[in-house]
Amino acid sequence: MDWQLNTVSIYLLFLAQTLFAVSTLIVEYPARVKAYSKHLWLYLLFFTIGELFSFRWASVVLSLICFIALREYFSLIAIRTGDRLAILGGFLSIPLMMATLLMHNHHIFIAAIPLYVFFFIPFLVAIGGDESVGTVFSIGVIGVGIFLFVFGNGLLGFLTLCTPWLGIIVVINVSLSDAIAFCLYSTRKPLFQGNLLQYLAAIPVTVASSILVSEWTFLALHVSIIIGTIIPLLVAASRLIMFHIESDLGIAQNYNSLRRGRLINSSSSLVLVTPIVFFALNYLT
Amino acid sequence: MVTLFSIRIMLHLLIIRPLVSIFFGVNAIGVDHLSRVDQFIMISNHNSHIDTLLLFHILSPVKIAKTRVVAAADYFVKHPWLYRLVTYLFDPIWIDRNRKSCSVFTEMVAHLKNNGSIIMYPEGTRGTSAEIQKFKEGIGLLIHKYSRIPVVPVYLEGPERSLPKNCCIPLPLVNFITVSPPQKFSGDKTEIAHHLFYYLQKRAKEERQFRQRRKNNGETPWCVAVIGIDGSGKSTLAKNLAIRFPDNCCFIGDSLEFYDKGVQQVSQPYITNELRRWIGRKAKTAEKLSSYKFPKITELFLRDHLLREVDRWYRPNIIFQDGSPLLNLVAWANLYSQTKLDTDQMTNAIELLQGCKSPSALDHIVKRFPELRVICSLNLNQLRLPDEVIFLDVPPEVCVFRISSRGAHIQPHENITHLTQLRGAYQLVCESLQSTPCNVTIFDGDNNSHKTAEQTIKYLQSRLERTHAQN
Repeated sequence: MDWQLNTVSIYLLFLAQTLFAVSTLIVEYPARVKAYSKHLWLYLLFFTIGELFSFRWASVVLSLICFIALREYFSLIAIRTGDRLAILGGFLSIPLMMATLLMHNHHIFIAAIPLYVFFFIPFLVAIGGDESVGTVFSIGVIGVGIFLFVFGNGLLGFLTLCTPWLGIIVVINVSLSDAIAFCLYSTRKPLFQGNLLQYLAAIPVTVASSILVSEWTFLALHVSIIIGTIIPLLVAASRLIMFHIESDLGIAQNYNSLRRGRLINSSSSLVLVTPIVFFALNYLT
Repeated sequence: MVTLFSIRIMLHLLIIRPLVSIFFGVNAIGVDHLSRVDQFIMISNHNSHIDTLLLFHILSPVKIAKTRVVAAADYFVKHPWLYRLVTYLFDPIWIDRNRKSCSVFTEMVAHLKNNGSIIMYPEGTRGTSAEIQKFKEGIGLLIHKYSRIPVVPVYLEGPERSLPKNCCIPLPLVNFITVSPPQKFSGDKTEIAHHLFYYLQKRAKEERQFRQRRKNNGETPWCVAVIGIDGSGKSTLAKNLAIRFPDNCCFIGDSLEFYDKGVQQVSQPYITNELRRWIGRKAKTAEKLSSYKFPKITELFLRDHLLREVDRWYRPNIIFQDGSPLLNLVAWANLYSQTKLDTDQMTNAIELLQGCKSPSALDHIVKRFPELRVICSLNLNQLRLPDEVIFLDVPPEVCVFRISSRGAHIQPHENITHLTQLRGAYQLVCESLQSTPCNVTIFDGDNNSHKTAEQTIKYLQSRLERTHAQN
């Protein structure tokens, strides 16, 4: 076992999150906090297993996260009987992601997933049923799910492949932004300007955390500052996007009482932010 | 004394439960209600085979040991290995829906007397959508007899998407189980059944409010079939109607033609159509009635498939068919059969070929026509019933004269004896359609073809206006 400070920090983070997740079972927290803590625990489990064993095992956890999120998403959308084949195809994109991750080939991944959504899913929708009405809707709705939960999580996997702390800092900064915004605003409806202000308040914290771990992320100081600055802004935009998606899925107002869309709500910021951070890092480094 | 450490319960707890959780993501609300009762009659909506797995998922080990589900033996007995597996895992009270027997009720009563619990699906069978079907009165009778035992209504949402009826591959989608508080009922059996039905229907309505909505599908084309014996002029009339009807029409006969307000439209070549025409030609040149049968049946199924393809790719407002695969098949079956079908049997055969009824429910007809079993096992029993049927009634003598004056090859059945029988069969088909949503009108086909077409167009226009007004 590796006992260097950066590795030990990952174990400590995981331990702290585990304790917090256990405490949510005993102490009464808002449902959203409970759901968020579970999702954060899953991501930290991914990083910890990567450090403890190997990335191969960690990718299984990442696949499980993708599977649970996709399962939840596909359960909420209006599907036609003819879309069943395409939905099955949607789940099959997870092993495809895993294969490219294990090949360490992000070029194939970046090309394969959009092609999968662009061609393979429409093909399955077309051959799945005899009804043409609603085809565009089906392709769109299944594509959004794959892009959000497979593409977004897959790129987090590639960031982790570079160095685990690159993935961790994205997860931590997104969670910090969400936590600060959650403490600051009481209403769930994200009026963009007001919401943006609350996320702006998170910038000093996220910049500080990025700089703090820059030694382990191997990012230059200016890149750490940029990443720390853009993440809260991207999270604010993601929340706005997800508010509308959740409204359409019927979970925006009642997801707590109906136990629907918990993982979607918790992981939405992360899966929308990761691709942009990935491309920003590609450009900046 | 309940054995908690039996292999059966271990299988439930260690294998089935984790697998169901991982694959289907069970999300249960109100499970606490079950811990308050020792014995219960659980009723639930039924849309899928996984319903029972989900309901056992929320039971404690003690309750698993004491609970039996009422299941349809007639379905499971067809798959012996599945029957044995289900018998071992769920110890069901088997019910044969084709036989009316008191033994099932006696078995249920005996189990309840033995402090056992029962899971029942009062709809009687799996529904095709998330809609709840009317409840059978048996549930009311049981609850009425055992009014001291609490009833636990459970609403399942999701199984109809994970593994709906007629689908064999389950999808990993989250399922929601809403357990309502235990209730006790008094009143007569019908009242109880009604109360439970409306209770679950209300729950279903509440849950559906949160579902994402799609736009309604476009209207399906109005399908008009012109039927009659050979030489009655049905093909000419159907084509005339497609040309002269002031709408976007399609004609499916020996050829496939599209018309928009009388102007013929260019269509893409359909492989199904070409294949159907080729097979149709083979049938027409058959020398014997026996060698006519197989190509004709194949042609009819391809014609029905073509109807779906036309609906999918062109979406015409009206489709005029020369004959109807479903009705032709039933009429021809009567022609071939030694003993003739009566009106009720014909209605049943029509429902069977439409896929509305299962072959096991209509064993007496399937035994007489083994081809029906083959059709059902190949999942070809999805034939479409036309919205409107025009029966051109022409005496066989006139038809035979018309056929011989064409100068073309005369088919084996195109003689007065067979055509008289076929005419009788079509008349019977028209009678049996009275109990279906399909509207039948009989026209005298002995008149001038233009006059008949004009009469039919006038009639169809008035029907169409009435249908629009009703909608």
